[in-house]
Amino acid sequence: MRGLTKQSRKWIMGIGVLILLLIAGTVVLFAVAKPQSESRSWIMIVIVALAVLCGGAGAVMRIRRTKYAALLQEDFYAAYESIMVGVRNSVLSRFEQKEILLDVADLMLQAQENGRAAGEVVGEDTGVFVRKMIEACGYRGKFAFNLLYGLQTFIGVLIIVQAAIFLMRGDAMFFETTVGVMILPYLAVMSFVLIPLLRVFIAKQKMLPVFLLPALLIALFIAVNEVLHAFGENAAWVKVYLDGEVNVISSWWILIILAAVFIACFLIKIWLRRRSLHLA
Amino acid sequence: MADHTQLIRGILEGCILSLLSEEESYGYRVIERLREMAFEDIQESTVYPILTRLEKRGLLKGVRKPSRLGPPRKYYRLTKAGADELEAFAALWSRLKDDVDMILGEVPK
Repeated sequence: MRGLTKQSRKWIMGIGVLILLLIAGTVVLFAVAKPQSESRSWIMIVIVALAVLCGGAGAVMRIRRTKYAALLQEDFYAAYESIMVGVRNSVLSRFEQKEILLDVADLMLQAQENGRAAGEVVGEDTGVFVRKMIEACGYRGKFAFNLLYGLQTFIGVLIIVQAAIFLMRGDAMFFETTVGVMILPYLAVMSFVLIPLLRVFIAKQKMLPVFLLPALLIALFIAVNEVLHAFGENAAWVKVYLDGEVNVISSWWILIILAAVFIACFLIKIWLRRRSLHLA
Repeated sequence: MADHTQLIRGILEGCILSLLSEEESYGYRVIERLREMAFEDIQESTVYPILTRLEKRGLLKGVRKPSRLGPPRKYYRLTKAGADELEAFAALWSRLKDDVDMILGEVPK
């Protein structure tokens, strides 16, 4: 395996520290909390397992070099990696991302063969190159794309959450499974705000906000719950928020509508991409 | 100094279409030819986005072919729409060049 770039080493160390903190936090919660229900214990175990899996996948993606990228010398690879992170976290389609990365790999291999420096080829700030390439693909409305991605994420996560609770509780029917009301606003914040922000910061290789923002959301969730438990349990809306359960996907029809919205988002993105080309 | 980015971009688009009307070629070679002929300081970070934009607009057609260096290389050639665009650019440039030359020649420096 070739040496890691400075950026990759930083990211992998950060991911490692975050996973350790998460495991330590979960262990402490188990140790100090009142007796937990079986389903809550399962939720915590699943959260940690998912975090370890995601972190592991992120680290592997950083370490692994594609067939062509492995041919690049260190300075060229560092520039290529930076462009790859920017492109992979952009609003471009998978096909467009692959096309751009193939072109960049080819460009760099030729420049390398001709004895040139990486900075000469794509500039010292690779972010400018990535931005120009994205603009060249005709994208205008980042807000619209993030909204559509957010809606798809929200629908996907909602189905996964209800399915996970259904499996853990062992309910007779999926459509009878209820979801805690308190989860829904955080799912929305995660889908429409947190994930788009994380993509921006990952693309810009800003590590601190990528680790801080999810922690802040979790801290906000815990703080709001604690405050409401302490001061507002008498209010009706607080009771609904803390203890309420809602049957979101209650029938085949709702599931079909959600699937239709998911597919519609996908089609609107294609339409927006095509339309934006005429504006370029 | 004034920002001539849009002007240069438009001119470069026309020049790239013209180069590719002669023969199909790939990005790095297009840049080399532009440097040999006129634009000595032209950078890859300027030309690659232009090639992508021209392809997206249907003025160029890109086809990947095997390359000895590694990744399949994209070769660009002009489409019918690209040939029409080149013709329109050549006519506009000719008129513009005459007009600008005339103004620059008449205004005392």
